[in-house]
Amino acid sequence: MDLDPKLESSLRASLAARSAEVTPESLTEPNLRPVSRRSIRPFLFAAASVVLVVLIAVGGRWALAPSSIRSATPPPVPGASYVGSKFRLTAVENGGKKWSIPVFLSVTVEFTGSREIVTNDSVNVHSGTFSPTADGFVTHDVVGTLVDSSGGDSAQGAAVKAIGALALGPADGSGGFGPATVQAQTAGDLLVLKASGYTLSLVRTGPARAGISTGSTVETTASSVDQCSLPLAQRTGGWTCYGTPGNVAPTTYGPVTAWIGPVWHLVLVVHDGKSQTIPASFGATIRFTADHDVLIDDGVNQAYGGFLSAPHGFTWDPRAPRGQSQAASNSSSDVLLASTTAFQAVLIPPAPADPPKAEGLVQMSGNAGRLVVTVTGFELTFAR
Amino acid sequence: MHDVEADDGLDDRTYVIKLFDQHYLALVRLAVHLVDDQETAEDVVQDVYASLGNRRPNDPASYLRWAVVNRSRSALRRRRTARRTPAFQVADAEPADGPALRREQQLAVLAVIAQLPRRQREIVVLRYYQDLSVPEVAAVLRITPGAVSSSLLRAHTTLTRLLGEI
Repeated sequence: MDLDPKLESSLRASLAARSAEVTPESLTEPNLRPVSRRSIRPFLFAAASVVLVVLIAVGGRWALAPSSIRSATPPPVPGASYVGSKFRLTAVENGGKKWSIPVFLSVTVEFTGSREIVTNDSVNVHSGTFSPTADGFVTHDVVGTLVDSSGGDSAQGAAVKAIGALALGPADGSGGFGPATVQAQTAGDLLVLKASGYTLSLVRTGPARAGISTGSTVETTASSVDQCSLPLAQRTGGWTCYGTPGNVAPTTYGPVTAWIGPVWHLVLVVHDGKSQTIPASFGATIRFTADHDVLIDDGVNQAYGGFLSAPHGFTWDPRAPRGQSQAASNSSSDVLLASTTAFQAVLIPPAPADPPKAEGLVQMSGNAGRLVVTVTGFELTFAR
Repeated sequence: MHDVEADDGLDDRTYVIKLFDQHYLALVRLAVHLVDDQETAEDVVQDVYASLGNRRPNDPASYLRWAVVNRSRSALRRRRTARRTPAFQVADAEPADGPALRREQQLAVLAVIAQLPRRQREIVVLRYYQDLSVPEVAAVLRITPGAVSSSLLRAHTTLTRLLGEI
């Protein structure tokens, strides 16, 4: 199928116009970087390797020392030096293979003062709690996003697996994971973690984010119309229920990061005592990214903005850019009307003349496979 | 693109600088279609040059194009650019006089291109921006011409469906 000549012309003109906006004057980095990241990587890896060797040697000597000497040495204070800090993964070792993890992947592990561990493997975010042990820690109650990570290069693949071993631990044989038992050794700003055969070398990049755990388990609240609690035959269309067949699994969200990552499909709008089911195929979606972006599609237009986590929901980030497309639609279907008005009222930033609404709390609740967003009289229910 | 001679006696750093001077702007202009925003595009291209090391590809222009496409995929995977998708800039459009209307149409076209599946998007950009033939696109992406043609066909169908009225 050839492209219509007029359309092809429009296509070429649009691409050319966009490229023309990239001028020599507009370049933010007009010169070749003087020291490339690539040239730094071997040094980082070498430094991490040296530290690793030293730590292993020290550890070996410790293991070989007479027990009387060992008992005379005070036991390590588990977690004392890494708790409250954020680390970036620099190298992974497993089965005799080593990978240097590029800086740009930004694979991070945070240990908060409230004993929460939060990992970002560049694809998914996991969070849970950790308990100190004699030589490290054990993770518990880890939840995370489920973005498909296939297709990553070898370094990214190694990072994903290593972080999985760290956060989730080994498969438990019943479809679940964990807990992960992790050995931890620190040397200054360097941290070496060992979990399930993986050795992770990390470097401290700063303090863990305050408030990363908002405390905020988002409690399950009943939707006005809980379709998933109804027998299959009584449900209106467009619903996909997860967990126990016929019912949503009776779980609650853990840390707020649980709803970051997946694309959530709008399936129900409740407003002013009326409800409107939205077929998942309609394509009205919302997505929260690990970079604190909110991406919205109401089926006709798209909008975006930044969000700030808050207990039981989020607020728009006033520092982040926001915007929306303004395509028109000739359709006046109930589905379209419900979707667009709900998103307009709830999520798309209103005019500056109405700042309180713009910065208001958007409440979030839900359970496994479900997300309920509530604000200004609207309730939007999403399914993954 | 005129490439530096492969064996002209340049040391590695000088060789990379020469390639940088020759291709950097063009590669950023290519990458901006694949990652949506200029800042990320520059980052992608800088990384490509950083990865050259002491490599001397036989066809530097083709190699650099391939590397930019490849690194753009990684950048997209990191999903740090979505907020700068051109579709979202429509809100800043001027009132609908002639140039503004054209601009709005262009943004709509770019938005649809941005929504294409990754491979289709790459092929459309290489075909209609870089003006490469199907075999040339196949060579850059290291896939078969047949795969390019079938992806292009699907992209045409989508573009026609979504942009037919433009």
